[in-house]
Amino acid sequence: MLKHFSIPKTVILFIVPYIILYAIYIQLNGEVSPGGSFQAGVIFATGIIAFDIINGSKKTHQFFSEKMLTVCGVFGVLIYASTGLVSLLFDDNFLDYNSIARTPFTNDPLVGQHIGIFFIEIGVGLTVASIMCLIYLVLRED
Amino acid sequence: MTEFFTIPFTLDPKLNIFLLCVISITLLLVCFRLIVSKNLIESVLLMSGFSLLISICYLFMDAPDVAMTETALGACLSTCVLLNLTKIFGNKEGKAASNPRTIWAMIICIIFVGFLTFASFDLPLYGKENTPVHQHLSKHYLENTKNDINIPSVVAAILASYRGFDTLGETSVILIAGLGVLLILARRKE
Repeated sequence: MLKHFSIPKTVILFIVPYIILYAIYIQLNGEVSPGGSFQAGVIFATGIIAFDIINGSKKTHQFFSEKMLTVCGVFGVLIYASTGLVSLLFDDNFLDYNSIARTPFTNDPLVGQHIGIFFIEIGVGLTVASIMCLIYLVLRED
Repeated sequence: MTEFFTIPFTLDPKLNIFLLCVISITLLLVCFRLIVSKNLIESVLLMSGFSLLISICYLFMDAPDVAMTETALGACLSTCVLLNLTKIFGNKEGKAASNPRTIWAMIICIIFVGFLTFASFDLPLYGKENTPVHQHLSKHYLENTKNDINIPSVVAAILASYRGFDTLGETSVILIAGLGVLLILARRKE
C-alpha cells in the first residue's frame, strides 16, 4: 500500500485510466489489430492491480469483491457458450456463426461471423480479466 | 492478398538480427545473475526483467500479441503476486549453492543443451516459407480467411471462428484454475 508515498501515487493514479482505456481499445479492435480478448483481459487486470497497490485492500474490496469476480468469470463463459447455442436455434452446428444473421431482412454469413466473434471475445475478455484479478487478490497480504 | 494483410512497419533485417543477438546475450547474463543471486526480491525483479527482455524478442520476431501477453502476465502480474508473497515470507538471505549435487546438475544441463543445439541444425530456417508446417493447414487458413470470415486479423479468425470449440475449452480451463486457487487459498470467515 503506497498511499503515503506521493511520487508513485501520482504516477499510478495518472496512468490507471489509460491502461483501462488501452484494454478496452484492444478488446474492441481484436478483429483488426494484433492482440485479442485474452490480452485485453490481462491488461485490464494489471490496471486493477495498480489501483490495488495505491488504495489498499479495503477500497478494492468495495468494488471488486471475490464473489463479484467469480460471478463475472462464470458469466463470461456463459456468454461464450450461449453465443454457440444461438446457432443451434437456426439449424446449424454449435459455434458456427454463419447463420446468426439469418433474419427476414438480410442473410449475410459474413455479418453473422462478425457478430459471433464480437460476442465470444467479450466473453473471453470478461473471464480472463476477472480470473486474473481474483488470483492476484487471493494471493495478497491483507 | 497483399493489400489485405499489410505490415505497417518493418525493421531492416540485418538490424533486426543484430538487435536480437544483443538481447539474447543480455538474457544469458540475466540468467547467470539469477542463478547466483541469494536475495528473494532481487530474484523476483530479475525474473521480471527476463520477461520484459524476451517480450522485446517476440516483438522483433513479428509476434506483437505474444509480446503483449508476456509483458502483462510475466513482467507485471506474476511479479506483483511474487512480491506480495515475499512480503509475507520475509526477505531472507539464502545460502550460497555449493552443494556437490549442483555440479552434477550443471554437467547434465550442459550435455542437454549440447544435444538440443545439435538437433536444432535440422530445423528449417526462421521465416522460411516452404517448410512442411506452412504447406497444409496454415496455407488453407491464410487463403480462405478473406472469403470465409473477412476480418484482417488471421489469428483472431482462427481462434474465434475456425477453432471456436478449442477456445471455449481454454476459457473454461482459465475459469476452473481461478476457482481452484480461490477454493484452496481463500480465507474463511471467522
